[in-house]
Order: sequence, then structure tokens, then C-alpha cells
Amino acid sequence: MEDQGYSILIDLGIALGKELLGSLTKAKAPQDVLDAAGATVAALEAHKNDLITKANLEAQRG
Amino acid sequence: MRKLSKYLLGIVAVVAIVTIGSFPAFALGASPMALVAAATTAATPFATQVKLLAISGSVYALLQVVKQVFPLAGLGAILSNVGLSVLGVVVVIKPEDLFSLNTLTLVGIAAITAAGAHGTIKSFTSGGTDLSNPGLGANTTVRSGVAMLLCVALIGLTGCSSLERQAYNVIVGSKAFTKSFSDKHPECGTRDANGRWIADPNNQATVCVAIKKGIAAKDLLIDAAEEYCASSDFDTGGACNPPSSKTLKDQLAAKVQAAITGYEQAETDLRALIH
Repeated sequence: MEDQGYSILIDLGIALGKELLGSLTKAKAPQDVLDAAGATVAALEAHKNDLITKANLEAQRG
Repeated sequence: MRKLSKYLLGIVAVVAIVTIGSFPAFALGASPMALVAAATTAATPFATQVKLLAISGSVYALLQVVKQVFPLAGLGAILSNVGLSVLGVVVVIKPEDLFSLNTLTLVGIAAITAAGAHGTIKSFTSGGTDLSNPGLGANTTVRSGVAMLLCVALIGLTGCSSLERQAYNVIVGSKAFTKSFSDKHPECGTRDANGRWIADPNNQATVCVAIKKGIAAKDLLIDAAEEYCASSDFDTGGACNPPSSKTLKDQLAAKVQAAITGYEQAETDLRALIH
């Protein structure tokens, strides 16, 4: 139940992030902002189904 | 001055929505201070409140997609927003808790928040000025700040399944954020073959120090998450396995929460440098 709820929420949350990113682009926000926000949303989407293991945590260091 | 008034009005509207949304709980005899104290000292502080915000925010995003297909506007948009939010709460409630006063309160708060969020965000998007006008740099910064704040909040909001998942989402988002930022400042350091940041010890510029602190705070969060997940299974490649002892789990959870707060502060310092 909790996993299903999480899956729905993270998918919708990523959709919200993309919507915000689109608004930022239209508003001609500074490139630094666009890049940082885009990278954050993309990373969240790429890793949303990751198993939380020591190797995956270590890969995020530095 | 008029723009400032609009943003202040937005803040007042959010406070009013939260206050009105709390009435069902107060009507059931709950003390506002006791509710705040209980939420603060819980194993995962403000977990329910964060979940409600996530549902309201997610429903708003979903509606934006729906509106691209159907001519949904005005009262129809608000009713759809409320309906989907209520459905969102019901979906994440455990079956045994479905028909309870607690669920009724949560559904009520979600519905009121969703309706309010629709109007508040609409006022932000329609009340602005032409951002392509170079004379309005300060306004651009404010809008960018609001949007960045929402993006960063997204990291935490989307991770409301468990503490380890929340921490992992913050770690993944912060790695991407700090990497994107540091890559634009090669004068502050370089990355090794494994993609790890090696700061230039001779460059003590504000931006370099902020990058260094942000990455250090993220790595501290990784340490705390690994301690929280530690078990013989986890140490040999298995999935996160929080301790079964409630006392130990609470102690380690507090460390993870403190590390998340520490990173958020470091990221706030970094974001202040983006203009």
C-alpha cells in the first residue's frame, strides 16, 4: 500500500517539477537556475526506482 | 510596491488556508499547540502534513496536464482539484483506517488546501510582469527563487514513503544540484574519475566555500543514512534495513533528519549565489 502510494506520488511530483521547469524556461530564468532545476528533476526521475543499497548511496558521494 | 503587496497577499492567503483547513481537527477537540508538539516530536516530523502538501501539489500538476487536453477552467478546475485531492488522501490511507474521524479530517484539510492552492498559484502566475523586460531583474530573481524553492521542496515532498526513501531522494537531488552548480565553477576544483569533487584548497572565494559546504553536508547525510540502514544484509549489498529497536531507530532517525536540515541550510547558501 505504502509503496503504491509512493510510486503515484513520486510520478506526480516529477510531473510537477517538469511543469515548474517549463514555467521557468518561459519566464527566461537565469541559465544557472534552469540547469540546476533541470538536473535535480532529471536525477530524481532516473533514480526513483533505485533500491536503497550501500553501493547506490556511495555512488552519490562527492 | 504593488508587486510586494501581491506576494504578501499570497502568503496571507496560504496562512488563512492552513488555518481554515485546521478547523476540522480543532472541532474534534484537538489542541493546536498539542498537534504542533506531537508533529514536531514524531519519528518523522510533520509526516502527515508533508503528505498532504505532496498530494495537493501533485494534483495541481496533474490538472495542468489535463487542462492541455480538456477546456477545464474556473469552478470546474477547482472542483476537479478538490475531488482529486480527496481521492489522493483516500489512496494513501491504510484500509483499516479508512472509515475514521482521522481520515475525515485529512480529507477535509486536503480538499480545502487544494482549492486554495489553485487560486494562490493562479494569482502568482497571472499577477506577474513581463519577465523578458531587463529592467525587472529583481522580480525575476524573486520568481526564480520561488520556483527553485518549489523544486527543492519537491525532493522532500516526493519522498514521503519512508525516512530512508526521503533521505535517498534528497541525496540524489542534492548530488545533481551541487554537480550542476560546481561544474559552472571550475576555478573552485575538479572532479576525479569517479565523479567526486576535489576542491582547490587555495581558492577561498565565497562561491567555492559554499560549494564545498554543500557537498560536505550531502556526504554527511549519506553517512547518517548508512548508519540508519546498517545491518549485516545492508553491509553486504542488500537493501536498507532500519533497526527494529524503536529507541535506536528514533535516535538514528533524528540524526538523518538533522543531516537533512544541515544540507538544506547549505543549499540555501548556495541558492543565494544564483542570480
